[in-house]
Amino acid sequence: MKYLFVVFLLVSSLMAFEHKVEVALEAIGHSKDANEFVTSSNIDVNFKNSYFNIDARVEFLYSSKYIDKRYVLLNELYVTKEFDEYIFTIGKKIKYLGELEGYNVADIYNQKNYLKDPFDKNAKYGSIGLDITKYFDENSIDFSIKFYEEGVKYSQNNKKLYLSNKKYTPTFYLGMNFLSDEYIDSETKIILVHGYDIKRNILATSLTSPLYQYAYRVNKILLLSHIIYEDIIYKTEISYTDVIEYDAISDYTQLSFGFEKSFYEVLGSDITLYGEYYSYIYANDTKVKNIDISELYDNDIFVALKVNFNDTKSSELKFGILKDIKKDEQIIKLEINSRMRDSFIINGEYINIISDDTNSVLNKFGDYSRFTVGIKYTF
Amino acid sequence: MMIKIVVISFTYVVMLFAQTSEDVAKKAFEKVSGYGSSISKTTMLLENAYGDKNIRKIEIQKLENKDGDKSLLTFLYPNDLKDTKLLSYEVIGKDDKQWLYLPAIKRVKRISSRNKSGSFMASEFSYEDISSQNYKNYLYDGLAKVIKKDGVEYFKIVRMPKDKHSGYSKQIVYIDTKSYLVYYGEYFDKQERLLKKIYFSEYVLLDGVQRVHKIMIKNVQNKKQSSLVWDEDKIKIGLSKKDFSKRVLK
Repeated sequence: MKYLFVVFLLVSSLMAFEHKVEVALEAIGHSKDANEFVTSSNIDVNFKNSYFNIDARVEFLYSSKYIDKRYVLLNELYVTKEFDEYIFTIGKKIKYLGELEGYNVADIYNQKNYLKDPFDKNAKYGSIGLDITKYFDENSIDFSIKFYEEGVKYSQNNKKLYLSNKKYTPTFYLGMNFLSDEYIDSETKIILVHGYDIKRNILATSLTSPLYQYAYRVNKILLLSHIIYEDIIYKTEISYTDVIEYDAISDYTQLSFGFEKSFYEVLGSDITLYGEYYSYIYANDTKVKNIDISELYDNDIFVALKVNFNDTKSSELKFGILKDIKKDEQIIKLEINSRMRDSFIINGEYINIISDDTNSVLNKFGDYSRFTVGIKYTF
Repeated sequence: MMIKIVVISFTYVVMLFAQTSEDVAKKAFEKVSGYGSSISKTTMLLENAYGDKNIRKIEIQKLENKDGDKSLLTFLYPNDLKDTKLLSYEVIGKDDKQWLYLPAIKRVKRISSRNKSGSFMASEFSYEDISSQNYKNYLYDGLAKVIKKDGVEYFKIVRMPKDKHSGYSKQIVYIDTKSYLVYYGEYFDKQERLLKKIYFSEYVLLDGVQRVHKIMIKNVQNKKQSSLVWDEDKIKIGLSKKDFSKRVLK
């Protein structure tokens, strides 16, 4: 520990140092489980000199009730170096790949952190890898390697990860990003993937034994795009997955489309509307389905609105409904945030899940509600 | 001698009256142009009708370009917004392009740039208030009138935004007849009611370019007001197009 401290002092003395610390305290009421108090913190640190940057993020979570939700995690630690039109990054990092708001078919680099919050799509684990990006004005090509695949932590009972290949088999990503405004204002990204799928086949050997997760390798092509026409942003994320070495799972296609439109100065507020649709299409319908929690979005529409009240407290309200078109299930989420002084934000959140389809991942939650009130301090 | 003074004064007055609003606007724009690129640290004070105040701090980088300026705004305070970035490309005669970088989730999000009238960071400044005030973005109404206010002569010009998505029907701008610097403005909403009063002050001559260091805006309809003060300002610092490409959003 003292060596780490010496290294920290040495690095700090040689480089410009910046930090941001966020501390949150939340009271969470669950309709079916015991209520809890949750303390969490994100510590972001950046060291910078004329040669390279180092970024790190430490996450802390402590639930008064649930042991699974107690951890300290170095979730990001990476070095960035720029050479003219190239940017190199190596280390543990979180990336965001996506266009839509409710769910991102294309956000496949990092595993989701279901322990932190299964309903927060941005709760993710950093993955260790290498990125090289070459820029051509506004266009770019990037090549990434994720060095190895890690298990998804759903709960204490399913830490065991089986892989279709050796653990240190890397996953490769090749992306091309291009911007166009010649005929229509648009931006498109195509990503080719070879390696482990982010999904898992969850296996239970018996009712009492722990769940096992099986990771398998795939070839995947992803298309992310948005078009701006008039004052509406139209978005799409599409993927096709070819499962290369696991017969139990069918090849599959994921489609998602959406739009975003804003109205300004409506009684002093800005209102943004979102409408999205997500779908799965399996090449072979007889194979395993509903294997992963992310397959919640198999034939669903998402409708949401965000209201910025444009007050000095930056008050904001978000409301969304995710509804399965065929099954009798839906999720409702309401969020409100308001600033109290400059550095404190108070927040409230309500989630309600209704699922009457026994063949659904969502049915594991049953009829469930969660109510959260909290305060966050950032310095 | 007397005749000479009268002739010079008359010529001066005629010259003043002969100027069209567009000519005056162009000269006023030229006074604040030529900075090449700039980096500024600013403080924004938001105040509601009850006197509650909140502070925002923003670093503004700008690149001058004849087809439209480029800007990169990095939010510095409050701390929860720290490192949030807004990259904007002004495109004269077309919609601007804007991207927002959200550091908490590492997301670069394209935003519709038709939000000209939308509030900037919950302030009374709209996006069009803080963007480049290029004189080409407006249509002008006839000749500039000369008025006297608090003992100082100003050109009073009326300009109408060309962009149909502007939140304003017209703007009346008061420009000092000697310095050609803008000091006041009255902005009217789409229903032609007075919406905002804007005050420009603390001009500083930096390397031959006039730089405004304080802007205050009052919304006369909701009684809120906001001010933007430049704490640091450097111009002609050699930034290039590369410093305003999407690669900076990280």
